[in-house]
Amino acid sequence: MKLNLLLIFLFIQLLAAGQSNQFLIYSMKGQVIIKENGNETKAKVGHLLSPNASLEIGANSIVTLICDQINLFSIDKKGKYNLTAYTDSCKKNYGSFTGNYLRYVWAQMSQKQTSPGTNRKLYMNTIGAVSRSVNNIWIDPRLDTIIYSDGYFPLAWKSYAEADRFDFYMYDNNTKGNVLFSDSTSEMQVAINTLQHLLKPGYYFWSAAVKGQQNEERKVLKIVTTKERDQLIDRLRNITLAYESEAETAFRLGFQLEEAHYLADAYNYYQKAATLQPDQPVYRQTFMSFKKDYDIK
Amino acid sequence: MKYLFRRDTFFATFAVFISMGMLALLPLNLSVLNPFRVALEDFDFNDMAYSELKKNQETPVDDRIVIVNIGYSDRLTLGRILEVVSADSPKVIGLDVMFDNDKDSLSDAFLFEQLKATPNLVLASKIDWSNDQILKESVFKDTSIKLGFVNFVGTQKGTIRYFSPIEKENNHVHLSFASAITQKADPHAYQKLLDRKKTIETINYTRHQHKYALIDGAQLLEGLVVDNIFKNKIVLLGYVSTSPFDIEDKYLTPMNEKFAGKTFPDMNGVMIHANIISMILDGSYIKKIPSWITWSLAIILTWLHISLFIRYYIDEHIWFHLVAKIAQLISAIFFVYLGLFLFNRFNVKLDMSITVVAIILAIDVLYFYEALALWLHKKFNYQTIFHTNSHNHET
Repeated sequence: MKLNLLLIFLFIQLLAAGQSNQFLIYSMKGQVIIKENGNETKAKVGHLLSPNASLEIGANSIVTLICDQINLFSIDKKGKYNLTAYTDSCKKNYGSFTGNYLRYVWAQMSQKQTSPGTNRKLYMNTIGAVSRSVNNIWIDPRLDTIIYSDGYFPLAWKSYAEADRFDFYMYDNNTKGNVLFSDSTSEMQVAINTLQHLLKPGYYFWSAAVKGQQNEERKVLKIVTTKERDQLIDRLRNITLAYESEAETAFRLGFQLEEAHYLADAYNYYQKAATLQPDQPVYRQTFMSFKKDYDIK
Repeated sequence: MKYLFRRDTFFATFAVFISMGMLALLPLNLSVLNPFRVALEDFDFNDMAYSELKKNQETPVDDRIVIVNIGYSDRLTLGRILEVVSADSPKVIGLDVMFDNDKDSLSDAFLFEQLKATPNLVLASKIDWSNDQILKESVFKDTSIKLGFVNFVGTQKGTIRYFSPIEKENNHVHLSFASAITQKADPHAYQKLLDRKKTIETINYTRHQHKYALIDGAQLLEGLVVDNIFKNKIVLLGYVSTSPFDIEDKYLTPMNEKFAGKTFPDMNGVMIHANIISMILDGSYIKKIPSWITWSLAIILTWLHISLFIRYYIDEHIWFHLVAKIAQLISAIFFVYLGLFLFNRFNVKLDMSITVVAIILAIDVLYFYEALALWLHKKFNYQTIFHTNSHNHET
């Protein structure tokens, strides 16, 4: 057992040692020059830097870097900085490492061994038949869960079959339950704000099907109050990061809200970031991709 | 024989099984060992009987069963295939297809009418023990349609070796697809299956795909199939593909050319059902030796090996390691072969892995037992042959 643990530890150390740190320019203000491999270029947000690069920060300038997708730090004093000096900033903060590790060991060592002979019910998941019920509707897995309070956002789907009309259903249960709302539409989407007067805060489940057919796949729509949504946005906005411009804050909020399934709000913030800083290709491209991915017209 | 009935021989044998029990109880399940665990968990020595000893290679074609390949037929086409097949008065028709939800209402209505109008039909359903309602039926529900669950018993994406003949849920009895078909085709064979009272049966794979008459559904509808081919036969409608790259409804079976390691699934679900039906009709079940016999055999054989090892350990120590290793090697090969031979020749499944593991562990446990016996002798004057007949380690 000790040997196993030692081997795991050495393996993790080996992996860690094999990775070299990378830095990404998260935000900047003023004059920042990158020197890398003998070349000198003006820094831009989104620039990826190796640890061999160095930065020259002008007067009244600031740059914020992300190291290895983990830690964020800023440099705000005039001068030349070699990034190798900042590799300590890349060290991961494992938090409750010991607790996580013990939980891992516990999980690894507490699984019961069974076999088809001792518990056949656990092993009856192989279905020896072909299915002739392939669903004609595809709903993007990113729409599995949407948390919504207000604003425009479409519940969209795609159809494999050539169909003129589609049925849209809203249920109060994940598998069975009552149909709260249904509609027949020629569009392959329904905007949530058109239903909002029907929905109070809570969980709802929606589905779409080619007219006359059924689709058992249901997606989650959670309605929250605007107060609840605003409190979340305030919390995200007040997270103490390094320096951020208004566009950078909007872009970060868009990203964090998308991660948190607040898609209608994420859309607004991506749009805001792209409007505030139209020359930043990342903001513009992200906004356009978001619109395309979620069929926003 | 000299040490066969000595107390130390019995105790050392006992210690071997205690050690095995302790190893089995150790719930070590580290992810780093997953490659080995995954490689071994789906391994069964008896699978080698198919690939190495060519078990059931000479089995004749089963002319009681005809399989119709439905290919990618839609529901309308399936209804038409069903109509043509049932017109030939088959004994039973098994439709190995799941219909989980409604599709086009016209073709659904046509297929539903065909299903209801087909006498002696068995339609696929599935069992889901994780759900309150364990039997999941097709959308075409009608009391006149007989159902049979198509679940096999096996690990996810692992080799399919077992099936469950029936499942009981409160007062309901659900028959497997093969059980439901044989109930209609041969009630006597079905009764024999029930009389065995087994919760799971090992599938006796006897036939590859080419050992069943296979009709293409499209050719059938074009009238390219001779008349009366289905008359009085068991007809299974399912998906069959010969391409190794098409793994839809295809599973690993012991008949796979490769009995271990990564390989392609080799048999479509409908062919596995056909093999199960053949087995039930022939009554050619795999006879599994009861656990108590397996364990008794393991204890007796380990006891004999321990007595041999003790003899050389004490009396002729210079030869001990050579004799012990040779004995372990020969025994391991012999007992694995014996298991394969019984399975191949007599359809008897004798698990010799316990015996083999015990014999392999025996030498190390013997070292430990000697140390323990000598310590007990020193402390409590425990009488042991390792003290009175102490071997000379320098020889």
